[in-house]
Amino acid sequence: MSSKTLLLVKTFLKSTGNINVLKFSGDKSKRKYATNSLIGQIVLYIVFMLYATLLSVGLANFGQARALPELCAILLLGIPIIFTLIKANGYLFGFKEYDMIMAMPFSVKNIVAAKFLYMYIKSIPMYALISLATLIGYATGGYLTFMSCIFWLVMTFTLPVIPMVIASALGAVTVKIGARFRYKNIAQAVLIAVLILPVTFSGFFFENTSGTEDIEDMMHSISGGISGTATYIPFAKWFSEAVNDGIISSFLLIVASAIIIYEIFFILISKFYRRMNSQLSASIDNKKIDISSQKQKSMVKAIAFKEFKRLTGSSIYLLNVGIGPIMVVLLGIVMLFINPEAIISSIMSEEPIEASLVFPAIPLLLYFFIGMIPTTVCSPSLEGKNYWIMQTLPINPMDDNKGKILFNLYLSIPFACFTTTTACICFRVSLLDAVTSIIAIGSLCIFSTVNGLRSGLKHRKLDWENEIEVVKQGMAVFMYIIPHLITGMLLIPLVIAANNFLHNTAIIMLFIILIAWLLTALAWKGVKKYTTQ
Amino acid sequence: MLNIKNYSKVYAGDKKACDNVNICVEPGDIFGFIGHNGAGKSTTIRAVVGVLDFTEGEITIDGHSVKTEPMACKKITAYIPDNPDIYDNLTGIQYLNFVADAYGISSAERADSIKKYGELFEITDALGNLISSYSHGMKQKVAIIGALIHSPKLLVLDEPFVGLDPKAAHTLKEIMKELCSNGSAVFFSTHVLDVAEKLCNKIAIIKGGRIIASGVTEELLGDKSLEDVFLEVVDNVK
Repeated sequence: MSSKTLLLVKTFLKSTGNINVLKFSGDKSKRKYATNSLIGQIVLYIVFMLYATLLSVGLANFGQARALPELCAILLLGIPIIFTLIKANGYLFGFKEYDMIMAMPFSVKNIVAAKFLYMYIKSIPMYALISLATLIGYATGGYLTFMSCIFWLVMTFTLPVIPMVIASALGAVTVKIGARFRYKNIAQAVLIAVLILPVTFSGFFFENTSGTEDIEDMMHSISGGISGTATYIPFAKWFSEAVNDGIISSFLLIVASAIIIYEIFFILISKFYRRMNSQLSASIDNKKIDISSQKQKSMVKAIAFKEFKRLTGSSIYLLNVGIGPIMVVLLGIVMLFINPEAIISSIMSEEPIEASLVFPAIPLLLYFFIGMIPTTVCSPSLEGKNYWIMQTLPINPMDDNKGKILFNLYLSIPFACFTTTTACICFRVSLLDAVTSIIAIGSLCIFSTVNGLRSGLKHRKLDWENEIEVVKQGMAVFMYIIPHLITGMLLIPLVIAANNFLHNTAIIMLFIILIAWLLTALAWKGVKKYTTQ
Repeated sequence: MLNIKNYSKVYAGDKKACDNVNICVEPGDIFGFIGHNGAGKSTTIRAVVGVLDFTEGEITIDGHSVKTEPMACKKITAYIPDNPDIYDNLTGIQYLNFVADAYGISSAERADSIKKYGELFEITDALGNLISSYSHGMKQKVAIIGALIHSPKLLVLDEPFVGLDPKAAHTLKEIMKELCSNGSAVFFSTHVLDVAEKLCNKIAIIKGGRIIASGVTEELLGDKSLEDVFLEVVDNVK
């Protein structure tokens, strides 16, 4: 690796990381933000590692430790594919400092390699922790030797390069295709979503292959699922052979594959890199407009429109925020064609429960997806360098908040209501249950929107270099998403249990509505508190 | 129109970016604000337009305090920063509509203003394009049109001529004069001393956060050029 690439990587890390802020900033609020951000990241890593360790130790305790190398390999291949697909285009193409860096004495290969390495360094701690967790499980199973440990650790750092390179290449293809369209960002986001959804759903179905409530059987089933999946992925098979059987050639195959794939990618991408970036920044023919037909809008609607353009103007933002509504709509369409009893009995083969008992969980499930990342979490920070506009215009800050809220409601409520309606049809519920369910999902959408804004305002960060710092790595997103994930996971079984006891969907929905509004009121208080007057 | 009294701005670490600044801009004034890089021009301007909080002093616009009545101040003020970072993902016309909505400008009024200034700055044909496709100068022009859309009483500009082509720079100067002849005021910073000398009826020179010379241009200059006066006072005042 050339010294110029390293110089660039160091500069990227310094300019976007928190360490420099902690070392050099005299601004207390910035230092506090940086500290909180670092703590947040560490907490996230710990939670992630605990979850992965519990799963792997569980498998090991039920005699399935030899499946862990395959599980580790599948995770080290699958997770980077999704994460890199979402991030790669923002890191590699059309970034803010492109002109400046390209004008400096760096080769295209220096720049692409530095951007890739930067993305790798930012992502590798998460992948390494997953690997370490499965390694702990493998060790508790009593199979770990010195050589297998060495192989495992080396492959931990080399294996993710393969999916990252593949995802970057796919990302580059989406950029190349997307650049041909007038609405490049929307085209790119749609293409990436098309690539991500099959991977995400395959994971979902993989998790549901157990079909049993007996833990030992479930562990056997998971282990069987892992081995079955690994047979289709040579890298996973090689990883397993290297660790379980000490086959050096398998280990070398993984390392060599990573190097070869990496080199091929950089040779190809270097050829097209300048042209692709030029296409992205190319200006288009003047579009005719009729000045006299401009319409006056209310302030709140004008801000909502601005937020809409902000969303569609960035493929990274669109993809991260849009994935929830897309999944909800897909779910809604699927529901029109499935029999819920069949799905439930396939998941809970031992003791299938009535579909009507599961129904109250549907709004929560939809809230789980659609409320994953509301635009309101990101939009305060995404103002970035444009923040001066909102500060100098005579806009009441609360109107700005309302505009941001309105836009997210436009984005979430219609989709959530659509899928709730199809669920009502699918589950054949009564009119009262249907109406209360639609009101419940609407209330939950309002809650996630307002709560997202509270977090977005509280952890607003304006001095970012790349949107990813806000959309994927932002403190606001982190502080919002962790409680969202935990409560979502807890509430779904809780509601099913409550309905098992009450047998009354409408009552449960009314309870959800009440709680949602109470929480919205609390979140609104937070919004008022953190709004800069 | 604009009254800055004993304004000081202290950054973290007790660094005084501005120290006891006093400036008075009357209706009809074109007020030039001159100084070295880092002298405190932008810090003062950003405090005037409500972007930057300040520690001491009082700033009023048409009698309204920037600190306690920010909305009343913003409604009659327009600001153009030195680097026009405007929403890249909007088209020019969408940005102008957004600004017009913010000021509550009617459809007819905004159409008149956009037509008038769009033609003056020769950017009408590009208004349907995304701002991300604009050059620096084009962004500057759209930011200027956005600032003029509500006929502000006080126009505040930070280095407005940077990036503008000669014709657009001339147009902007004419607009500034026209605004002032209608009773508005213009307060702007510049490094182009020739422009300031010819355009401004009042000038202030700032150094190290302190105003070191201020007054009516003719009285301040006497028979010297602004360049001579500027170099003289900047070199002599410690």
